Amino acid sequence: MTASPGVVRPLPVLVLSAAILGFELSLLRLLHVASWHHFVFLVISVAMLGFGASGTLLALTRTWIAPRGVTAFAWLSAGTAASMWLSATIALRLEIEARFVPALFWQSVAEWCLFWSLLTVPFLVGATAIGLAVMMAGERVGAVYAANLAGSGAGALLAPLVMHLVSAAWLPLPWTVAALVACLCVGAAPSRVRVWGVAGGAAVIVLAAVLLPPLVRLDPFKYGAHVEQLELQGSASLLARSDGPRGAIRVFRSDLFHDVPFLSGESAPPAIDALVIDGHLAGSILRVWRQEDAVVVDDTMMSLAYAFAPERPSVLLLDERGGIDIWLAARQGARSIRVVQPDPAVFALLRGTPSIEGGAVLDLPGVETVTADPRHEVERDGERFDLVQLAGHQTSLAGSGGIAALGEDFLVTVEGLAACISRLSPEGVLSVCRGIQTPARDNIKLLATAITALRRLGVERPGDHLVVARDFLAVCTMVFRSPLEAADLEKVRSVIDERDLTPVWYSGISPDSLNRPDELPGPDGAPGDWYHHATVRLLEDPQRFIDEWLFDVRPPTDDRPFFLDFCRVRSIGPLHDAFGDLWLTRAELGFLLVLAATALIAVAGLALTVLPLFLSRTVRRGRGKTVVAVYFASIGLAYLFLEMTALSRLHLVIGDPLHAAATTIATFLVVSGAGSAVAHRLGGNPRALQRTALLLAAVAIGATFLLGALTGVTSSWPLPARVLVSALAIAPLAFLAGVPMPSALARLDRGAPELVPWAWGVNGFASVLAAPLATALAMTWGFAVAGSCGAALYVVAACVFGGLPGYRRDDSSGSEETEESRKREE
Amino acid sequence: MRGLTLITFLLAGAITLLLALTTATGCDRDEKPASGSAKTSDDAAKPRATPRKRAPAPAAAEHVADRRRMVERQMMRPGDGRDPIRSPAVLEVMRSVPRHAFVPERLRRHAHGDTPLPIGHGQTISQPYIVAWMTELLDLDADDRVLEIGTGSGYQAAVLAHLTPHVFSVEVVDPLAKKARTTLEKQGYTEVETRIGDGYHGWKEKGPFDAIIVTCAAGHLPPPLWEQLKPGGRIIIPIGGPLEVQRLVLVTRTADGERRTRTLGAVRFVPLTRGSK
Repeated sequence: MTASPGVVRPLPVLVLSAAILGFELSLLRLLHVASWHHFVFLVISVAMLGFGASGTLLALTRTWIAPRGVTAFAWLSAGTAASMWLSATIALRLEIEARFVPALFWQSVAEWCLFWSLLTVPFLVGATAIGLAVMMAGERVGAVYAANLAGSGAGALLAPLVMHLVSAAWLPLPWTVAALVACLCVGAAPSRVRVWGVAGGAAVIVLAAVLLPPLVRLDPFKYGAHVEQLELQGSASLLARSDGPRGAIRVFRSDLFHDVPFLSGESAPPAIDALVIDGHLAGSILRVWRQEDAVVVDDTMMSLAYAFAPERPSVLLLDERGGIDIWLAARQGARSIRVVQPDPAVFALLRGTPSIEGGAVLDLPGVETVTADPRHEVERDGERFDLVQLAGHQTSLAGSGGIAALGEDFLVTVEGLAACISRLSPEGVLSVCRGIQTPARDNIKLLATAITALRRLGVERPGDHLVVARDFLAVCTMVFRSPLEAADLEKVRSVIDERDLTPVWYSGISPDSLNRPDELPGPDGAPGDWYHHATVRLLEDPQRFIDEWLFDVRPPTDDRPFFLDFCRVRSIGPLHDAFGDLWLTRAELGFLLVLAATALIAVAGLALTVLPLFLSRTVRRGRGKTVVAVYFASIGLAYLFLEMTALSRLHLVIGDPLHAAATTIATFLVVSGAGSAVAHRLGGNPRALQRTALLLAAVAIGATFLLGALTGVTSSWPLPARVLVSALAIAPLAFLAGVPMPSALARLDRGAPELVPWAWGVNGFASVLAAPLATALAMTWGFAVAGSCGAALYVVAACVFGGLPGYRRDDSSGSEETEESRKREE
Repeated sequence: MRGLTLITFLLAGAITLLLALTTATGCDRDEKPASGSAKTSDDAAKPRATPRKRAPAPAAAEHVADRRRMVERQMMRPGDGRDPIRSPAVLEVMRSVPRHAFVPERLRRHAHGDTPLPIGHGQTISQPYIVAWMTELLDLDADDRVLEIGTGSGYQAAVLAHLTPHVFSVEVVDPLAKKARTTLEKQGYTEVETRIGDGYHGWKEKGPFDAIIVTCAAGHLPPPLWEQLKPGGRIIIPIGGPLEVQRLVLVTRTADGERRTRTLGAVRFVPLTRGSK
């Protein structure tokens, strides 16, 4: 294949696209380590913003850049490489933090804007190169667009592999090299340009690496930052580390670590090592070898459930990390302990590091470790357990200003808890302990979810299956497989009394026993604390209570799996009344942050993409620009709505967010690339394209509602099989989704080429908005609605396709021509 | 409500785009208050302590009006659902201690604002109201021995020093501890004894204490602190995780040694460095 002068061949486009997407995923990983979850999704938006703004840049510089096409592509590739390294290095050194102190609010906002602006640069430069290649491709636009998508897919597949090999700070490096390779591959560019481009880019990177060595500065409020400080002053030392796509795992040792969850006894814990994952404290590892030395675990709230489980219970610990719950199960005489942890690196590190004495807990008699997604583990048919403990949810954040609100959790959903309860033996108990929050939210949401799950399993009186007790640290929610009899309730009363705990709920609870010895706020004039009040009302009239509560405590479902999203817009008023200017730090802002991000991104997107293009003379003169805008905005929004819906569904099916992301992104991009490559075979036939869009909408609806059902079938399959089936399941959708863009672009190129940058810019702008909008839709109504909106937008696109410049109603054979193109030929 | 907000947001965005106007969406605050309690505390200790007679800090002559305003607006009439600080002694102390001297230079213009401020190493100086509230809850007598866990900037220790001469403070972050020591000495608070160390273990040699104030969040009540508390003593401790909305808990040790706790309200502190969840 010989490239004609001025046309970039698909290969460099493919390599550069891979580099850009790989860099994007690397940034996601880097920010997981450096910052907090709710900022991470903005990476997708800034990447899209870069792509959107590139359309504007191309439109404004078209007359200058077009004659220099291939040379410009080479330089832009080198510029992408250099800016990837520079922007990541500089941005991650900025002293920004997630805690927005009111007095410094605007300063913090300015710092964050600088941070995100820096990270937008490489996407802008790289996308300009890709857009240039598309602009110059003419009739070969399908092939170039396909190379773009296929390259991005390859980047998505390669990124996790790179994360296995490279530590977080160096993650951008391989992708800068790939961008330089793209510069070298531009065959039609003068060799002098390619050599100088690569040499220049490499020089910038090396110089930057020497002057500013890569550094991941942790947010000072992350636990990892504290440990780094302790390490610096000689009070802590690193015992073991492991880097991978799932997380940067570190085990630290210090005499300053004492954390045992919900410890209420009067004896101090033994020496402890801290398991830190992505800068968060993920678990504590007792430095003991024998059960006798782990006596402190008997004084934790988690031990309460053992008082009600059968003798020598079989125990299932879901998402256990540091081993404290294993010591507890062993000390309580469990006959078997199945420990489920989704990340194999955690147990590999504990077992494979001789200096971590506490790793011995994994090899206690009766302990079986399983690497699996906890939800998949409970979905499988098989052994019944006397005690199922959601160990991973003892350390989850809540009430943290919404910092974890966007995280999807398929274990604490109605379906997930129903599956947990179904795995219980007839005498079995499901136990979850979580810290107390004021005002209450997460424990109430958990209770609402458990009650709904029980009702879904056919239980008419869920209150008979529940025991809730607390002290001043934590609430322990226990769900029994069978209703509690009078003798059981007597035992509940006596155990709670013996342990000096405060009862919240059991069937027949006496008002006299409420809210003592540990007193919590409660409703005026009524006995008990808010937890008791909530339980009673959830059992009587759940919907009314849920509607009235200060926070969003709707039971999460597989369609809306946001357990830690508590934001309720109407609570802002009362919170403001209660906390004044500090309401912001008391509220659960996850959802509001999504809206704020959408608004900011919309403004930036408008300013950088749509407005400059709209104001340019060529676009203003162009006929049909409104239809072009509607069409390309629709497909831009729809594509990402469907991709994000598929991502959530496959997270559930595959059981791992990382593999789900790689599978979804790679399949969507590669298969969409294939769809783009064959789009030209439709010959611009408007009816065929409209039918394709309608078929796409139908397939989208089907995928939205049916993908999740695969979980029940595939949960016991090996990971590669789940990945393969998932990829095959979304392939038809991805293939069809690849058709509308190049078809319309090719048509536009023939009928109104001056509107191509407008189309590119509008599509970019829509894509910028799509990621946070899809998240907001899913958090509000669920992914079914987000996916349905995607399908509806494709219907809109099908409807307006006929109005695109160049369409003639009396010609549906695909040979219709615009007046302009006929004139051109004449 | 959320759906309504989202729809409003989307519609407003669409209208903005169509009309090229800069319409902003707002949150509806006219809903009736929900059932949850967002109030801070209705608990105020009996005003017992009186400020000790001590030489004023060198910087006390500066920002006098700012401090007076701070006390009047943030403590006597705090609004926002917060109860006023009732103890005249505490109010007088808050007027006396030169808060600005404990705040990093670049943030001094915010020193008397109703806000916590960063002091480095992921630590903050608490907002003035919280310092006053916790001090009031300690219900100190003139000769009480009080232990502070988390010296931070040294401001809370300085406030306590006006109420009792027996103030002991522990800080684990080396640079912070040294800076606080220097500031306290410079401002004449030489009666405050500080040390660099693990606050989890308290300060056994100086105990037992009548009151313990923990100014950093913890995952549980450290047993050594409980051991070092006298019968009838009180511990004020924020319970919770980093960046979480923590609860301020008042733990009392009854005369017969039993533990009684009372959750007073939501606060937000930096984590106790030993590792809270």
